[in-house]
Amino acid sequence: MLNDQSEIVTLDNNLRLQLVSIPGGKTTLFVVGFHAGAMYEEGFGPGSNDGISHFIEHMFFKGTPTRTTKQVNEAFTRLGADLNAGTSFDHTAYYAKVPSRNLHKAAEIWKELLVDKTIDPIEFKAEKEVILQEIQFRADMPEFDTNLTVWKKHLMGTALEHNILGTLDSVAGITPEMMLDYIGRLYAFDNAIVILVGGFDLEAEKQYLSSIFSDPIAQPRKHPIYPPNVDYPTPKNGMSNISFYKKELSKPLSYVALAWTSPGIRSTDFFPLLLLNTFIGNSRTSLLYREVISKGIASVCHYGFEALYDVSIGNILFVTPPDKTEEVFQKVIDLMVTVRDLKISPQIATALKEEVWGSYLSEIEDPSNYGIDLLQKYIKFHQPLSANEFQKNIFQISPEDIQNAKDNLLENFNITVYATGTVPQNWEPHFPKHGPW
Amino acid sequence: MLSTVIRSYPNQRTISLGIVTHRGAAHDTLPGTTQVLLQTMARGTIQHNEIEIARLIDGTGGSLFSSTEKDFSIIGAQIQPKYAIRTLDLLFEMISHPTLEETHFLIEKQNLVQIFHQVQSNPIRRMMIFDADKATFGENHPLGRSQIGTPESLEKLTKDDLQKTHHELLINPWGFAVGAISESLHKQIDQKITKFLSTQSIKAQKLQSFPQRDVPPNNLLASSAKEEGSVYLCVNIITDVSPSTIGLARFTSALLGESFGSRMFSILRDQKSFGYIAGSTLKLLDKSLVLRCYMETSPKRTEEAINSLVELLTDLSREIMSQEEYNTTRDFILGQLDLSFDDSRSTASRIINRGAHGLPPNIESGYKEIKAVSSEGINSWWKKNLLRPENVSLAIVGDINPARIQESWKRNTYSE
Repeated sequence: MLNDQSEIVTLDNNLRLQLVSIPGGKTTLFVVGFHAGAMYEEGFGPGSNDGISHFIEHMFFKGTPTRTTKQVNEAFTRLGADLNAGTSFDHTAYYAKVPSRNLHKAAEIWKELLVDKTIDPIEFKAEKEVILQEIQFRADMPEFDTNLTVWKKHLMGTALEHNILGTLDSVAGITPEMMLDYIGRLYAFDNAIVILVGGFDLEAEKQYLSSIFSDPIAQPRKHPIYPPNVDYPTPKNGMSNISFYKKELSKPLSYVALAWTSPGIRSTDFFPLLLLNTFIGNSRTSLLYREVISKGIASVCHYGFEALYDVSIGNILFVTPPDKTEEVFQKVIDLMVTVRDLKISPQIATALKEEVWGSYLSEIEDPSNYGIDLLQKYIKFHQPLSANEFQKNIFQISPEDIQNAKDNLLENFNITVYATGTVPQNWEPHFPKHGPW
Repeated sequence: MLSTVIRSYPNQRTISLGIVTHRGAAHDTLPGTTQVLLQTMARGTIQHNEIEIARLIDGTGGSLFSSTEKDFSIIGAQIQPKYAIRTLDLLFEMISHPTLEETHFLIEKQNLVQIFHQVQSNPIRRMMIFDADKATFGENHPLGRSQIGTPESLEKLTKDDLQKTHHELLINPWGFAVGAISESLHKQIDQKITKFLSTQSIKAQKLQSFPQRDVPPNNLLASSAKEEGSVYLCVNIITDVSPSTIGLARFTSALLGESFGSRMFSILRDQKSFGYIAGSTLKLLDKSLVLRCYMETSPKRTEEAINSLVELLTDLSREIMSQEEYNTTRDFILGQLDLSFDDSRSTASRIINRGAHGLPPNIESGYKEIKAVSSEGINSWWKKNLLRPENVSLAIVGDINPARIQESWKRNTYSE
């Protein structure tokens, strides 16, 4: 067990505070997170609000009722802050890590940022230019663009088709009024959490922060918040749908991404699937590393997995010389079959628990990762989850739990493949007759 | 001479440890050799195969911490404290008795060629990993070449080259251990590293001197790629590294582009909306210190971006910064130093980076270095030493017209 102290407080204005005190820590991370992200957007193309969650993320630090943008930036700079923000499908997070000696000064700025609901038209126009350029910048990154495209194609027609950045057309059409409407709906205190992780006195800071964030600053929400309906069509009888898209690009390598979705995993499956994921990809012990990277057939073979409301999504991206595209693809499919047929033994389960917990410990050593992880778990489970609870959840998993979670995940399956860069002529993905599962 | 640097930080949960050697990619006869060597060394030892190594390190949630820099190399790992001693043994085995199997060697060569193409296909990585140092030192200068080599150099690389480099690897080695280190562990680690270094019959070797930089004044390296949506540019300013210049350089880099309140961020991004990326970074390379100011913009604003970036840099020599800006920048750096003790790996990286360049290996001395900097000092250092044609270069990548860029850069370049 970690000896971190942790406490959760819900203030009268419905704002939740999660405080985690790390003994001996010298820095503190502030995270403010909202249940607001790309999957809450509506429509596509000009006139839609596709990309608005990310645009608002860029506007968040643009001044407060008492400070200009420059003053906000300088105030955080003076505190030695690492300041950043991120938009996801299901949440938007704002964070700043500061030396703990500057914690109170940082809290003062956060309080102002939280209540600010105004959009300066000049700042809005300038930032729109930055975002339009960011879309170009991301398109220049082939790995990023391949993943983005496969998701967009795979999730077409669902709430998850909104791929965070929006498009040049949709972002160009966003107005300050649309932004205020979105903020009014989703940036409410009962839709947010403030998380503090780091070296501080838990009791003293609980008092201080409860008082500073309890001012009558809550604004009534204009509309009720409903969890978005992903509206993902349920495949039946195994793999019902394989889609393939290809785009030639003048690059020396081939970039191939597979994306799949299965209808919602039960929350009890989440932790067993974390273990299974470790078995499949990314670390040097994983199947994909051992069979693809280690064999030298692809320089990248990345596995990703995400559980979102009523769907779970996963993907594999590999980068390889064009003449190896088919070999790597077939290897990936073979590994999928291996996973399907895998019987989880107690030894495998024990090894996976050790690896997951060990890498979690390394990850949360930095309060930035710790706080962001806590936020992501809060968004997923609709309630805070401490590191000790995480450990408990991991170590009580049985081999059967992993087996069942795997079987649930593989029950129904849709898959999309997107290939770009230099793709061999006439290449298309071939799956086993009855699908990889 | 450093033997072992051990630092204990009770707030950390892991330990990062290993060996630093003064042989880096710039010492390679065939570019890419050291990188292939380090990768191949992790593939197996006389006692542990690749899977066993992965189980002992990754399987416990740890990770290998090996990397090839231009002027030094690290063979290390980040690990839970309970596995520290076992991991040191394994690292020493990897250094002393790697199998360096032919198949692994060929795979790692192949991997590196793919990584080369990956970097080449991503314009900002291409600029930062390949072009910035080429523009600063010259294309064929050991410090100007990339550490991953080229498909051609990797093609020529033989197993004999690898073996030879392995024998030369331990040039002036020293050990490091940073993190959640108890008193008893401190002793054990120290003894173990000392014993390893002494049994390797290592003699301090004279470090190879690199040739003079070979670039014209105000060097420009422009690489045109029509299919790219953005243009990426990086102004490099080079000077000598010393305990006195490191504080000045760190201060200048922070002032220019390390925070949301910095000049580059507030002028080039917030006010002028050139693009998404605008920032600065400081790099130590052998006896030099390179300040890089980089940004991204749309092709149609390239020349305007060059003008604005050069203008912003020149401003620093024209007038002394205000007391308020000085205080903000100083407080930012001091705060950032506090943040550098959060995790063992980044603390270790900073210690290694200092130690490998002849600076005191304790990051804590950074506080003193920054407090010694004055606003007048920055202005005069910048004016006298930095914005001189021989110290400045520009790397630019993207959908550009090289002739027009040449003209635009010429209009903006610095003269004596």
